[in-house]
Amino acid sequence: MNDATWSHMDGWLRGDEDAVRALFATCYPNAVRLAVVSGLPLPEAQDSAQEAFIHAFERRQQLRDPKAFPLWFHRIVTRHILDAMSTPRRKHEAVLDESQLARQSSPAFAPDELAIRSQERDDLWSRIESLPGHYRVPLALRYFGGFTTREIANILDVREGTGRVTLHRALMQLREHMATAQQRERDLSQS
Amino acid sequence: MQTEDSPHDWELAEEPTLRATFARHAPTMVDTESAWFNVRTQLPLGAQATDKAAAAAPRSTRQAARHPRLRAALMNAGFAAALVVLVGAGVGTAYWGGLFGGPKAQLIGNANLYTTIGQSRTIDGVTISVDQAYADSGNTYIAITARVSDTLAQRYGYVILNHVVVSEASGSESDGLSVSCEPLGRAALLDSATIEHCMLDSGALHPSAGLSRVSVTVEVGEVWLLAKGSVQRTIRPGPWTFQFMLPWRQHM
Repeated sequence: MNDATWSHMDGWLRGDEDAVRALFATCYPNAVRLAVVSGLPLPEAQDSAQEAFIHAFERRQQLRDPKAFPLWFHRIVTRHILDAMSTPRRKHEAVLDESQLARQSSPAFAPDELAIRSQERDDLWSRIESLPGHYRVPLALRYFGGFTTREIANILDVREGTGRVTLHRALMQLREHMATAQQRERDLSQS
Repeated sequence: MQTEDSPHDWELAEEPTLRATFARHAPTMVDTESAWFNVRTQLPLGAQATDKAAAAAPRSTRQAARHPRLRAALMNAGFAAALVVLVGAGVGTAYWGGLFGGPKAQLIGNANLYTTIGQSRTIDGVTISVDQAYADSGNTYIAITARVSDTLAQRYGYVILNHVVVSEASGSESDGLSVSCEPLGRAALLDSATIEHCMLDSGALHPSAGLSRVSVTVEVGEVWLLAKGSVQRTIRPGPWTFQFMLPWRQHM
C-alpha cells in the first residue's frame, strides 16, 4: 500500500465515507484486474471485487492491525474469486485478444523478434488460461499481485509448504511449454 | 507488495516472462465510479439521504445493488440506472476524464475528439440534453445533462435515469452500458442550480462495414424523482429520445 492508502485507513475503520470511497478507488481496480487474470470474465470479476470490498468493510473490526490490510483484503478477494470460479454454471471461455485476432487474420505476421516474443506471450497466456483455478490463482497472486510465496500461503489459508508446492506444480505445467518457446527464440536469434 | 523472501530458483527463469504476460492481459481501464455507486448503496455509511434514496429506488435497482451479477445482467439488457443528488456542480464541469469515463475519456477530451450534439427534450418538467458524444470500435461515450424545473427541484432531491438504451441505425444495441453521474459532491451543495451531469459509458456500437459515421439513438425510458428527506417518489415517463450522427473511429 502507498502512503495515500495508509492515510485512508483510519477513516475507513471509522466508516467515514470519503475515506471508504478513497480506499475503494485504490483497491477496487487492482482487485478487478486480479480477478480477470485469475480467470473470471470482466463482469464477474467486477462483481467479485465489489462483494469483497463490501465483505471487508462489514468485517473491518476483525482487522486488528491496519498494516495487515493488504493481505487481509486480498484473502477476502481471493476467496470471492475462487467462489465465483467454482460456480458450476460458469463456462470457461478463452477470449481472443486483438493480437490473436491479428495473427489469425494475417498469416504473414512479421517475424521480427518483438513480434515473436509477443506471440509467445500470447501462447503462454493460452496455456495459463487452460490451467485449473487452484493453479492459476496462485500464479496470478505471484506474478500479477507480486506476493511472496509466504503471503500467498497466507491468502489461500494453507501452510507455506503447501503454497510453495502448489505454485511449483503450476509452474511445472507451464515450464515445458515455456522451454519450447525459449528454445525457439534462441534458434531465431542465432539464425 | 513487498518481497520478504526471494524468488526460489525454480521460478527465477520464468519470472520476467510471466510478469509481463499477466500484466499484458489485465484490463487497463476499470470503471470505479459506477462500481462505487453500486457498492455505496450497500454500505452502512453516514449519508442518510443516500440510503433513503436507495430505499426508494425502483425494485430492479435495489436488487441490482444487492446482487451485482443481476446488475450486470440488467446493464447488458440495456437498462441502466443512476442515483444521484440533484445538485448543481457548475455547468462548465468537464465531462471527459476525472470522475467521468476514466483515462480513455480523458484522452478523448484532451484531444477534443468528441462531437458537440446540443439536443434537448423536455417532458413534464424534466429536461434531458445530450451535450457531447464520441464513438469508436471500443466505446461509445455520451455526455448528458439533466435539469428539473424549479418547482420540481423544491420537492425532489434525487433522480434516477431508468431504461437507458443506446443503439445505432440498424437497431442493434451497444454491448453494455454504465452511467456515471456527478458525485454527491459537498461543494455542489452550495450551488442551487438543479442540474446534473452524467456520462453514459457504453460498449461499442456495430455500424455497417466501411462506414465512417454512425447514426446513434439514445433513449431514456423514464425518470424517477425521489423526494427530499422522505421515501416518496414519482415517475416521469418518457421517452426522451435523441438521434444524431457521430464520426466512427478506430480504437484510440
